[in-house]
Amino acid sequence: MFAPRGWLKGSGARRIYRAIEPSPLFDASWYRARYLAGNPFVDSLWHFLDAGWQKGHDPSPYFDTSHYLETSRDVRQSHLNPLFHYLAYGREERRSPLRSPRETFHHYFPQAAPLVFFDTPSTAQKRLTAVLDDTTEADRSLGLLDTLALALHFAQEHSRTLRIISRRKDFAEVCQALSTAQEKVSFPSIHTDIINAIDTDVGPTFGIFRNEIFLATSWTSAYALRHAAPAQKLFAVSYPSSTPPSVIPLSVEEAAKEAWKREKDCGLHQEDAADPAFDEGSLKQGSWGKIAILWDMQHPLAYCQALQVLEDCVLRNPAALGVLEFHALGKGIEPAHIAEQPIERHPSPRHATLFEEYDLVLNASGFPLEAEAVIDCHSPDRGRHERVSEALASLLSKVSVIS
Amino acid sequence: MSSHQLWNHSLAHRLSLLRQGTYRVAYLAPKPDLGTFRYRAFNPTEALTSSSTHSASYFFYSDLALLDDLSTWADALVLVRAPYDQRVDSIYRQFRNAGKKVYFDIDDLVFDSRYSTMVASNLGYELQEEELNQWSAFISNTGLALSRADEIITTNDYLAARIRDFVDLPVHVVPNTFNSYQHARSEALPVRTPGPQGLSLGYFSGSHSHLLDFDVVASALVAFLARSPHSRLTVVGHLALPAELETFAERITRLPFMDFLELQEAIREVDVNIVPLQSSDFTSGKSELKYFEAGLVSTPTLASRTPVFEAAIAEGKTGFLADSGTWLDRLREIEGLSPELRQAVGEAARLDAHNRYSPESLVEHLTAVFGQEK
Repeated sequence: MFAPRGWLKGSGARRIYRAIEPSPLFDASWYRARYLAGNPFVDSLWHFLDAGWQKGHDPSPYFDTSHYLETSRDVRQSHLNPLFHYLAYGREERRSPLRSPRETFHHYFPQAAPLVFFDTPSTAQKRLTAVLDDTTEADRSLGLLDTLALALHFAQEHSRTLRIISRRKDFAEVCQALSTAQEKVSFPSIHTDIINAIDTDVGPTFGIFRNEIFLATSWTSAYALRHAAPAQKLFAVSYPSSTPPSVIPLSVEEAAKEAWKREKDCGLHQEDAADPAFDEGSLKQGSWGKIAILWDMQHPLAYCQALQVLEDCVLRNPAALGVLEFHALGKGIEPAHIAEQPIERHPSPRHATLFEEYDLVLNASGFPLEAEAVIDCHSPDRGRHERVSEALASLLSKVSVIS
Repeated sequence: MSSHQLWNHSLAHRLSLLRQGTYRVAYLAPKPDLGTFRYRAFNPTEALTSSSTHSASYFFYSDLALLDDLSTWADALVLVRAPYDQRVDSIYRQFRNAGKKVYFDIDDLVFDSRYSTMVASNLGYELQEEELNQWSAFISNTGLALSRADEIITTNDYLAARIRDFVDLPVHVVPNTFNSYQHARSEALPVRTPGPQGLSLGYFSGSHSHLLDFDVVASALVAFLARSPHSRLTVVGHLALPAELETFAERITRLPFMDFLELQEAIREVDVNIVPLQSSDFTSGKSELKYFEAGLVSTPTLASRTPVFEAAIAEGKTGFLADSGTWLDRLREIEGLSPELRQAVGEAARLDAHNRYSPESLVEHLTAVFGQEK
């Protein structure tokens, strides 16, 4: 079926068609292969304009429809074709058609995204805000009840009221646990507010007082809180295996230790292990300036870390932009960019001819690789920054010699 | 139009402008534009590239999706004329948490809600009910962003005084300046020979916000063009000319809104640059930028006698001033001057622009603001 006659009769539709049709951000053959494989007679552009974008279909690998709508509330409310909006307005306003590494991290770990705070005047009220989310117990030996009891103790110890911001899916469970915890603690009850932070469309905002202190109860809430206040006002629950839980100064590296360990321990996915084309010997040592990030779905933390480290190094070495190519190899990789340069995505990292092309490999997959040109990304290792940075500098010098 | 090849650079490039070993200033604007952003963020960034002690770069809200913490890249933040919202709150907090200072830069009287209806009427906005609410909310939130900064930077003494009325914070005056691109384009223009008879007048409208300002001079222009048959008027930009001027349509040249570099050429083509302004607290705070940009191409300016223009222009030496009701007399006086004398005034304006409104003078002002932080 081709586009029906007359579907461009309206001037608005014609304007949208004329903007998108010649744009390199619409790739008809890519769109066809991805979304219309079983419908050879449907026109790709018509399909995208008529229904595709509303289903979240991307017009090309370089425009992420879902991301654009997620980050553009005005476009979402206007029901305008997001690619048209980008071409007509968004590009000039410098909106991004793809996720940044930071946004990719928040995409995979939405509860690590910063909470939106507003400084508000206070009448000298002293308050502790504790943030709970769905990873609060994930890496703890103790449960939600003990975490809340600890928060109550910490508030009492500092003579503060307690505000609990819950990002957990099951809010009723938090309310019940709080009620039980309040009964359990031995001191007189302190004033406690509890807020459900996930039950809104646009995302809630929270007032904070100048002297407010914060308590993270999980690695994701540690990330969400890390810019909320100066370091001396940020705390986290620590659950050492041999001693009772305690409150320590917040450090995202420390808080995320367990999450890293858990991700690493999940090991290699069976599909990865079985692939025979994963040949370390075929790594090419420097020539074309191509960098690969290996990904699998079991290791999103490592993947996000690889993206962020690579972007940070590129931002500190702008000569790399337009010279180096960034590729992500793996199944189901979401579109993204590094320092505004789109990442080329390849669905199969096991393809030996592709793998041979890369000068530097950031390994965020479960497959263990040992080679000079491979940097492992399975820990929050600060030394990795230097390694990637040095590798980039070395790569750039080789590329410039060749060119 | 907001994008421009001069500031359409990658984030990586812009971060690289913040040089290690210097005091690094991050200018943050909601988005690029040819007005406030250019004068208050782009020009300072460009000027400080020549400084050995300070460096700067400009950023937009869209960059905040990429950068986890801008404060790790800079020693101070200058937020450029933005209303308070969650992005402002967050970026202020980032710098404060890092023990770094936050400045707010404002170039118009759009921060004190006591003036919101006056500003709206000056701009010709017909605001009622909900629109007035939104306008007042914009001004109120801009004032909130200003009042939550550590220090304020503004364009002139008049605005500085209004800011001190509003909030008890340190206020610095850093005038608008031209950039090196405007300078280079102006210097490359050929010397213009004035016509033998009459005056060629130019009105260069910056934006829609100047519609009512033109009314200040409209009747004087009608009378002047009627009495001076060889005089002409060039109008550039968004402006609906009053019906009375249609009589002189054959002597009026309309040009569309143009790029600020091309504008230098258009200003060069007239004998006198006219800058009429209504009399109000809002227009009293308007910058003298039209004076020094005309000066760059040796074109003298005749401007309304606001506090800012009175401080900028040495009457009869580097330009001319008109009080309300004297525009016709001033135009006739200037027409009566010899072309050589008008050229001399234009040349004096050029020297004055180079002395007081150059990138070098901007560096001096900025290092005085940030210098004590070293």
